[in-house]
Amino acid sequence: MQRRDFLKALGAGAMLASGLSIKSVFASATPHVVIVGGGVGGATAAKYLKLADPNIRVTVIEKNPVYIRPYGSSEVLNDHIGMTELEVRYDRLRDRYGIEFLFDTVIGVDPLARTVRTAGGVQLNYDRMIVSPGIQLLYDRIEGYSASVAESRIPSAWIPGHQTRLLRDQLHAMRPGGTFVIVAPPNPYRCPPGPYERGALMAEWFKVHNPTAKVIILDSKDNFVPGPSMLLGWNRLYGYNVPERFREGMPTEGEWPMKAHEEPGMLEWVAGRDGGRVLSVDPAALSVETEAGRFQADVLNIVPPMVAGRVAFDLDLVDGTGYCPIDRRTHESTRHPGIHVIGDACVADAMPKSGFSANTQAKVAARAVVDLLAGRDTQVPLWENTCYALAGTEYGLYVADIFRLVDGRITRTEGPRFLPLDASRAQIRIGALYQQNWMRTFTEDCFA
Amino acid sequence: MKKHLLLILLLSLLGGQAFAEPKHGTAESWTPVRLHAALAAMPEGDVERGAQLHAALFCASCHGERGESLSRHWPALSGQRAPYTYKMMLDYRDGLRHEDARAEMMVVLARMMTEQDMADVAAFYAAQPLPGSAPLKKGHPVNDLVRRGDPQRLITPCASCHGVEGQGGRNETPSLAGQRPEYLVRTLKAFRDNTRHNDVHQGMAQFAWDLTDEEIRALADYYAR
Amino acid sequence: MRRQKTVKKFAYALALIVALFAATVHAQASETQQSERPTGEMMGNTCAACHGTHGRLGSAAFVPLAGMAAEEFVRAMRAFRDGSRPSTLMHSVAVGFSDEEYQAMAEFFAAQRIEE
Repeated sequence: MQRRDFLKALGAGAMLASGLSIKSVFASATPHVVIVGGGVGGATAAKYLKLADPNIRVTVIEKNPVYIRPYGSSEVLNDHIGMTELEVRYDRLRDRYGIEFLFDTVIGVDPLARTVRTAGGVQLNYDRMIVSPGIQLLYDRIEGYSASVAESRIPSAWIPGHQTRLLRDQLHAMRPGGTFVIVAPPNPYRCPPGPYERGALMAEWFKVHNPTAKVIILDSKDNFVPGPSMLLGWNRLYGYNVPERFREGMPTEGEWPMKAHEEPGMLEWVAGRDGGRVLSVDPAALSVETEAGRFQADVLNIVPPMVAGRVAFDLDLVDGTGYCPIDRRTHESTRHPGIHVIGDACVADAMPKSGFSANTQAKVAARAVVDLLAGRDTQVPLWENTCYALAGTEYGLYVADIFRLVDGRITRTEGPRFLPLDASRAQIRIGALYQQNWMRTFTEDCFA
Repeated sequence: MKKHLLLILLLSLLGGQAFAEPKHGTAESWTPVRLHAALAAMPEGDVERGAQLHAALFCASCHGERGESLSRHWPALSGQRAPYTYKMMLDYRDGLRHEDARAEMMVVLARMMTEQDMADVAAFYAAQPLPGSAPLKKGHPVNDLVRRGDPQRLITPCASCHGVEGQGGRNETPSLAGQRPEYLVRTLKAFRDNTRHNDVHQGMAQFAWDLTDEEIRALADYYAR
Repeated sequence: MRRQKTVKKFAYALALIVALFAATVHAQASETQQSERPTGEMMGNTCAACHGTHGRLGSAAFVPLAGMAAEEFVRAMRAFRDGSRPSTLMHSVAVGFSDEEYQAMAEFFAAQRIEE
């Protein structure tokens, strides 16, 4: 405590004197940062640590030698891309920045001794640790559902891999006029627009390949991001009738007005207030029981509730919410010092759980770690979540939010968040074009 | 019947927004006859309408407020000859030009435009000042190549088509004066290795085949702002 | 316990001295504000997902920011904010930052090397 006060005071003075950097005499010559998890958060953190200070030794401990990106993975379902295009390799991070990789699983940590142990029997010393374990899906929370059912019959395909392939195959083999049912998860969950984008892309695909098919999204929620802009897209593309409560501001004339379809199209959304909450599932019959009654599916996709990835629990970083509480300024765990948590697994107040969030949180945490290792005062953080989503392959939407630390909470800056309802056709088309480009540039920022 | 009429009216009002998308390479390559016909059929461009489209279709986002180019990624369009700009838009639309990811973007954008739209933006850019000029530069390493060509390699002088000051020549030959050097380098290399092949009967590519990297860099420098 | 208190006192005294020194040497009002505002780099790093790490971009649809003249950056952000320049999401992004923050980001990007 003495040391920290002294350093803080020195640091504060240093900040006022134009950010003079005072290297702590107590830090080791080559500090070692261990990163648990090589997904978007972990990879970005590793890279930005090295960018800030190439002398820091960085080791990433990751289970899988090849990363399969979840963002944009729904584009496998409509054959826009193949599974191999989701693969991201770690070569660039290793070769360009000298980041070390250990393909293994973390089983324990000693926060006081600052050591971490792996299943493969390796023990590493660290000066600071960054944990970015993502999410785990709680299949068992839905009666009748389980991990084995998800792997074999009713995929979630929310963590990409075998289940994504399975879902794609099921959808492409669905009988003419069949029903595709998506069960959307309750808040908070990874990738807010995801289930609705998935339903939209499949409706677009079905229009060509299975025109009498139906898509039903069952929801316990009454709203979702990006809200009305997605509903308007559905109205324009899939004959969806926008519920009364969302119609304010919708264009009724001009280039592309919202229409009232006499015969609604194939896409349906059953909100929580209309009984969309799922009570149980019958894997044999492929049906779900909801508050509004029974829904029969030909292909069933359930996205269950989720919590922080398992390793966060193993390392005792999780609280009663199922996510990891942190010091919002530095992402340092409030349960164990020296360990920072980023990405889906951390409690980040107003920030959604998304790849983009993980990417900016990684940069904030990396900067904080670099400053803490050097004995400097930490910086004022700033986060963002600006990402594109699709209502169709040529219909681009987005959410754009900026977050600041206000009274100890990560708070969204007020402003326009979504594609305006009066956006031009050009904006919409170009938005879809940008979305495709963004997939590449985002991946490069994290992994190259 | 009325419903159908209404539909036709709506579609025509939308100004051709709904059109088929030809795949890459299925459009026929240019011949002198077809080029002549296409340019003769080019609608008269409206500069003001072109200015509006240039804003609404995000052209300005990459090419700059007056087409002067915002970065080495994208060419300057200001002062470019209208028939050339128009032809490039046709080439993007028909999939004849698609040499890299930036060109792929242009393909998408061109398919959102009618021929009138293309003529209008072409007129808008033609009305802007050229970003530079490339007069005689005695002593420059490639001045001879530009002014006299190289008979040994069957390279005619660049200036004979691209103009005495690089301002462009007959028909569709573009102005090079003041163009982004990085763009010129990319373009010459693309012609040389055949990733770009929207010229008539390899009329441009043939001169790039025997150019060295050094010469390409020097040529870009010669014409650049 | 007493030793802790002494060290604390010493630390605060030292901080005070350094602060006074800083205040006299650096008279600009913005100095204090800077320590409360995110740095140009902190804000600029949120742009990387589209505009490239530190603004360096290969072939892509977005504008590379590395090496961009600061006035150009500020002018562009202002135009996005007031809507005079059409955008998809840049308007939303620009609305979230102040003029001083535009300037800080502009200076950060202007100083980045261009090499891809």
